[in-house]
Amino acid sequence: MLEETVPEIFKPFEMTTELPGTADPEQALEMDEFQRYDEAAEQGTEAYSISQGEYTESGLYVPGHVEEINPEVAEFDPEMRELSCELDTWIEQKEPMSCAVASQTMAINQLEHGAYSEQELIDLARENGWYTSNGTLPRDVGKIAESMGAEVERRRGVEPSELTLANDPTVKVLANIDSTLLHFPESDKRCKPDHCVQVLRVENTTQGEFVILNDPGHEGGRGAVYPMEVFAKAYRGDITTIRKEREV
Amino acid sequence: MNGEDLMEQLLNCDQAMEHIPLELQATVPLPWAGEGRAVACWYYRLDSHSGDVKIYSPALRVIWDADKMAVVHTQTLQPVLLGSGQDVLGPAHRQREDAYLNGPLTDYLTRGAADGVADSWLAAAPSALRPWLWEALRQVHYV
Repeated sequence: MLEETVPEIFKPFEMTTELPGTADPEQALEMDEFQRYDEAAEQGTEAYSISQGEYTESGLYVPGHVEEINPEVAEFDPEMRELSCELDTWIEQKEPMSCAVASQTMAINQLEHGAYSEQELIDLARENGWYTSNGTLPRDVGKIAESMGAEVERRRGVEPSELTLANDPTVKVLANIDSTLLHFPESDKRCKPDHCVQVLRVENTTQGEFVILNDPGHEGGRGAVYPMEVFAKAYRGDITTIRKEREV
Repeated sequence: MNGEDLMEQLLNCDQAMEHIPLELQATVPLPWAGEGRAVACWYYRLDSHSGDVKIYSPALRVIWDADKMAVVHTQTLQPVLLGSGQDVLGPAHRQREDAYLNGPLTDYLTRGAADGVADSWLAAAPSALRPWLWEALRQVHYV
């Protein structure tokens, strides 16, 4: 009788708790995997492995690379899962001056799990005057993502230490850097950013601080790893952050 | 304002963000004819992605009003590959730039003295760019 007259929202709330692994076989499996992850973490298992960067005789710095992400860690760690996705979306820029378009293509595809080609976005940028044969005006970096509904912020004077914001899986960070100084960090050249890259992560380890980039400028740019002191020489604090704002 | 300050402002001012493509490098500023303190900069591509440094002729010439940090005039140019830009990596290139900024350019900015400035300005440019820049100055009777 009571069941028929009392509105649904006033019915007593019944909370059911079920210990993971006690009923659902899938949950049992997940719990087992979680325990293995926990054990791996305790044993100091690396989330990913990187190769070592090195200087050549000409003073060229050849960056290290993220070689492999531990799939067990990636399964449970959203940051590592996102890093894996970011590496998968790396592209080499199609045109000599299209670095900002290529970087936005990567960022948009990561946020949207999309499959935009750089050419599609080059065409869009050309139509809107955001990209010419001479490249992209600094004020226009991020305009493609903005036009597709993303929340874009261009910031100046951002300290290298603040770039850890790229570790947040929901934020994509594009940085303007001096490509010559990134390749030749010991050079005396005056720093004038002329290239756009995506900062994927900043890590502080016992071996020092390093930056992981998706650099569209050369074939070895996927997950390129630079010591922070090398990156900082090429960086003046100009970044563009891209966040998913609404469905695009 | 000295020459070093002016160079920094020309690279980082709001007008530069609105008029100069990210991908281009800049020559040091050259005193130019015009009202107030005008300077000219040429903007060019330096490509080091393949592991060596290649330099292209300028893609853009911009005349600046150095007092207002405002773009007065822009001219788009057709860039061509000039050759190696490896010398921009060495200390000698930076020393010539600094000497020009702190010497002749600062003299121009503080005392209006621009006589004979072209030679030291050309010397402060990357070596592969100098003949192209000299020809550009010759065409406007600067040299």
